[in-house]
Amino acid sequence: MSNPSESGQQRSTAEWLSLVISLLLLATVVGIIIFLWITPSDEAVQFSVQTAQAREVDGVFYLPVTVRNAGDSTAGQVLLEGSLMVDGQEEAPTTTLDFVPGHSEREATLIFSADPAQAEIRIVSYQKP
Amino acid sequence: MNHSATRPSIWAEELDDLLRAVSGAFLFGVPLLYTMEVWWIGTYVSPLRMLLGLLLTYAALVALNRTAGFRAQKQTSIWRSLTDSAEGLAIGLLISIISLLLLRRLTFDLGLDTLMGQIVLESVPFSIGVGIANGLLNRGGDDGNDGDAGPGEQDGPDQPAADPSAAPRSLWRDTLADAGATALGAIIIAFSIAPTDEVPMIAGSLSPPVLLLLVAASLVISYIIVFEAEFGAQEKRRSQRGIFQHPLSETVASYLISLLLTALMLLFFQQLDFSAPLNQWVSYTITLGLPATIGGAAGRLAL
Repeated sequence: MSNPSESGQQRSTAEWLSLVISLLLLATVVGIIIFLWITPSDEAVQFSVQTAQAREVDGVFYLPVTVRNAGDSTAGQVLLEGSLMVDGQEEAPTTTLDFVPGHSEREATLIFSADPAQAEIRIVSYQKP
Repeated sequence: MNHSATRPSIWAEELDDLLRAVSGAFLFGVPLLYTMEVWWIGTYVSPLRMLLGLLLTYAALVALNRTAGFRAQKQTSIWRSLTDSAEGLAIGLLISIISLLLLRRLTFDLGLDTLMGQIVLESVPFSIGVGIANGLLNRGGDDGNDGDAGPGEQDGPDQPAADPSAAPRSLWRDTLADAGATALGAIIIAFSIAPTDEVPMIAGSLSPPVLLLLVAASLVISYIIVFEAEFGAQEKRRSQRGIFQHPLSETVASYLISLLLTALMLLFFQQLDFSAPLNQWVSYTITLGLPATIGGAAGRLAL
């Protein structure tokens, strides 16, 4: 195990292989980043809200809500609000999503005391992270 | 060339170097893998910053390569340290991708820029871990070519350690010493992660099949760190005895110790209590078990 001078400079086949694979991976990553750089991606935050079937447990309705951000920018502290008239009184459950990155979806659940089929769901506010 | 018969094959040597790089990456990078701010910043980092980050990390790797690096054979040529650093960066990126996928931080409902931002940001600590792989723990001075190496490659610290191992020691004392070192290492790494919100956040997103994958990954990484990477006082360890000296039993035993300590730490920080459901106990301990077992593996080598 003590002949560094002879094995030191020569690069073995195995070392060549890992170097080539490494360079391919690096080239791919850098290539994708450059692609992202040159494609314009400063479209503002753009939300759409989609609700699924509510789930009822003991007279309480759990409504899954999917928030999609179609813009390029990330939104932080996204405030989601539901609104439903129950016996003449407005019920307005809210929740905050920490982060909704661009082109991404996040899921939340709003809870109502009546069937939320007629509920109105909207994004009230968000912050730039 | 008589030496070549006794030397491991070029493939074994290269695998050894690469696994040492992987070990260094996990030892240094795992705390930042369990940091939600890194995932979040990754979601809005701009492509220009990603490129700058990779470039700066590469520069750091070239500098680190002069003193530490991850290869057993010390290379002196500039060209060599440039290519080794490129490999280090690629290994950091690869580990970043695998570990973020494993912890369900990268999912297919995320945009490409978000994915790349998280991968690149998390690859920085992993790459630096590769760059200091030789220096993180003392390597056994068996290469005879560490003339101008950094403190990590000096033979000095190994000499006194070799003597007591020659003296007869009881089986249970060696086993107890290894168990204690595992526990200490696991606590050093995992204690600072246990009280954080990342544990329930990650655990909540892991399904049972992914939990099984995480258990497998924890065992493999722990095994790699201790047995394949030829880190630290390996020569000393080979002359030690105890149930911890069989590769598989050591890996499993140290993982179980890490899981037990993980559960205790989570209890201490009230992340878990005895009324918590079983699936919460299982997912929390396995989630924190990965950093704990990495720390445990490092602990057994460092002490």
